[in-house]
Amino acid sequence: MPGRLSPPGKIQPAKAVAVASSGAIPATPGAVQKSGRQSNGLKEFLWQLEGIGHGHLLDLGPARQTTITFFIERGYKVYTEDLLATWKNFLDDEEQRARKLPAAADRSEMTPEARAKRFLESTMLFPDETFDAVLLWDILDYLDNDLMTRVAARLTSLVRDGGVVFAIFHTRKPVLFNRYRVLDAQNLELIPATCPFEPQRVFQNREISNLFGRYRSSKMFVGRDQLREGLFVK
Amino acid sequence: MESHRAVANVGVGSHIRSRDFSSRIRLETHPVCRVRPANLTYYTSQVTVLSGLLCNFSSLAATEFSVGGKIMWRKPEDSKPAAPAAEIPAPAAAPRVEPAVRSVAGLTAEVVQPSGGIITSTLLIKGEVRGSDDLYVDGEVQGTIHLTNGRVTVGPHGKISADVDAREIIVRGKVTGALRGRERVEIGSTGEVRGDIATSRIAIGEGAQIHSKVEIARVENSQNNRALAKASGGASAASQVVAMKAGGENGN
Repeated sequence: MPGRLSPPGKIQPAKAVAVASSGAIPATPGAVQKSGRQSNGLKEFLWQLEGIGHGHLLDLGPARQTTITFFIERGYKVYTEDLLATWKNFLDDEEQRARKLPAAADRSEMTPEARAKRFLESTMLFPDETFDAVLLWDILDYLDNDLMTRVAARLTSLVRDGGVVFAIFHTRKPVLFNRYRVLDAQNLELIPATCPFEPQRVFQNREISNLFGRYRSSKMFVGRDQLREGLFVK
Repeated sequence: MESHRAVANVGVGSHIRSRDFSSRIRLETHPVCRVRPANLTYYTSQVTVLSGLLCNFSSLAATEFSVGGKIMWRKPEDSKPAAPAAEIPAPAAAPRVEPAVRSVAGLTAEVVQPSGGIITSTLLIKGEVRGSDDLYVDGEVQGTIHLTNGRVTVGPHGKISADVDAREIIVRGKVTGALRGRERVEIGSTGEVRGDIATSRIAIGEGAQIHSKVEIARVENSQNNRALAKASGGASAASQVVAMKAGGENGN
């Protein structure tokens, strides 16, 4: 199915309905001050999904009742895998393994590249071209280079032709870590949370283009809240 | 009507509830302990044993009862206990007081005293578990679990490596395996599921970990379609999902 990039109507820049001021919101779930965010990327994403109809959607963020229910009600089978949490658990296990190794042991398996490869041998194990839609959120900003490129490549193989990936990138190094939840067809909710990782980079446009080079088309929405929403149609 | 007669076997924290609101629960206190009310009392619907008193003969008697959450009476503080001081954990001396009773403090009321079986935290079951009543799992099960009309509850310490097929499934522990809840699946905030989930309603608590495919069955028959169309104001009945609030997540 050919990718559809332009919904009817004028495209407005994404804007935050309420922005959490930096420093005012602790990045711990214990004192959560959620904020809503009008999202043109989400609107475009849903418009793309209308063209696809029913299908399979992969959410790589934490399982959220509203997000899952939102897409299930639209006829999607939702697969959920909290990639950051899974990666954190994997690294914790690796650390324990490394501590038990004798000093003279071969540690070639413990390099970032080897770890990334082994991680993906046990995660995101789906047949190729399973998904019509992927919610990537801002996960790529928090993965190291080895894993980030492998995850992007794995996603490319998992997405069907005509499928669409919705991703978020920070335009500046983020002060707070947020999880995202779909509130409705036009709004996302940002939920401050504790991040297991430091942000690894701020993507330049060219880097994003290279990462999603195999996709047929892409569109970016830049928000005033230092978030870029990207849509990539395979 | 369910009857719960064994007061001596009812430990602190036990919550006895009858599913039939028109039925009554008969609760007997042990005569030797001389607690009030009189030896035989009837309560409606539900009773919670709030505190216990260890008696000489290694059985328990309640000294406080609540009915429907309201404390009905309490043993006067100036009365001498008939037993040694109650600093000894009462359930430890009570025969057949299921460890699950002690572990139920944080759970929702409806799972405190299941009418069916309990797999306690000390048990490991390998094989096929079949039945029709409810099952509470706080131990480990490897194999399959199939309940024709019951609810499977995985407690916080429960660990299931099995496919589960039941009317209702509540997960507060770890499950590796496919979940098929014909009516409902609830994943609590401490729950972790690896395996496909198929149900007609799902509730996910804040913090639940799910590494699965979630599939909601569509309502096909015409009777349900009419009812659902009415309830949803004309929305498509084929994709009706009732999302239930679970855990502490807001806005669901």
